[in-house]
Amino acid sequence: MIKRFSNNKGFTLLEVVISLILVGLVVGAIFDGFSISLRNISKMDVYNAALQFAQNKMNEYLLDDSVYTNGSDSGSWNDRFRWDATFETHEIDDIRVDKSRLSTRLLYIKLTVYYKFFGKERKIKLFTIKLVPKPKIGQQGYF
Amino acid sequence: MNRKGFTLLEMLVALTIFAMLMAILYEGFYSTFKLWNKGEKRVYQIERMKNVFNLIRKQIISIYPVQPVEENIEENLPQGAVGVPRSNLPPFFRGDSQNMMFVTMSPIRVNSILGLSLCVYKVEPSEDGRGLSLVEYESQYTGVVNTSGGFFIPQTIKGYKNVLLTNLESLNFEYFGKDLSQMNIMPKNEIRNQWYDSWDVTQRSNFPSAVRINFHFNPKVKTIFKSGTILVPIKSEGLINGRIINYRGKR
Repeated sequence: MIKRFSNNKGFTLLEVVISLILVGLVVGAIFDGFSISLRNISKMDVYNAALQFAQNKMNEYLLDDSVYTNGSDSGSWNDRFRWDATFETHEIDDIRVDKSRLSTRLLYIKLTVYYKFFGKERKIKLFTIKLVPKPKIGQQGYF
Repeated sequence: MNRKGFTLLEMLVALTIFAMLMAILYEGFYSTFKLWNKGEKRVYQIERMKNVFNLIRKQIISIYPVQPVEENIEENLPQGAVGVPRSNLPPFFRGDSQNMMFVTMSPIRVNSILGLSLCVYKVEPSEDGRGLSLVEYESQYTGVVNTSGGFFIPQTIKGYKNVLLTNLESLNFEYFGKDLSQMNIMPKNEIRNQWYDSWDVTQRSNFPSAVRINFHFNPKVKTIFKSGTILVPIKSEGLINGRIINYRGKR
């Protein structure tokens, strides 16, 4: 017993290095997990903001009477958020009704909102359909 | 056998190293803990803001066009009359830049209020004295509103107060729609949709078709969407147009 405790040799350099590396790995893993969770919070924040911008933009298009023919629109709110939208008109496809007699048709609104997060650009896509009046023949916007 | 023990110097060196290690560890844990709390607070703020915006959207989308009963209508009824008295008042909606009052189908206190509810949105100074807050008052809709003007719920009805947003620097409402009171100046089809600072159905002879809320939070609110707008259409518009025409026809 006494002999075992009076071992004066200590650790070898190899043992010390290995144990230090192990400790470093564990601490690193803990802090990395922490920083990932902080990053996810920011991601949620940016995503939420982009979603609010997108919802507002979509509502603007739905309310705007001048949006009723084929076309596109784009712009930016600030250097981080921008949007891109396309409008496509479609005839109401129903065999029970005579298309030429309908005064309305459908407008497909496709809205893509781009937002930057840690240098990468990500996007949210929204899509909706709006009932719009058909322009009369000769009027601007007739296709 | 070595019975000498440690020398004082050895003890001092060992203790110093130990203390330094503890200090470093404590620092690390403490700052981690602080950051953790901060992150949690931010998540709470973002989640709360998102949910409140959704609540506001839901309430404004489901604004309902009811014609309120005049406050003193019972006195004018013939004796022995039964049933709900018919009202000649226009569908109710009233708003200016800092207040908004309407009847909606979706109250916030779903368990306390059944059916239609009378809601008042107000921008008020915060209770803690820091900045402004957006407060919603709501009560069961009884068919009676204060027709004379003002933004309040009659004291005879039980009301509830909900604080929606705090730490605001500014907030204002805007209203979108056609001002049909211009009909005697220009033809109806030339009247365009426009944004207005205030809206009273009796003045404009029409219901608004959308509401926009512009807001700025204090700089200490740490979210990206801290100043901006929420645009909400009023979906029951189609219903309203018919009623408005009825209302005008009756006069």
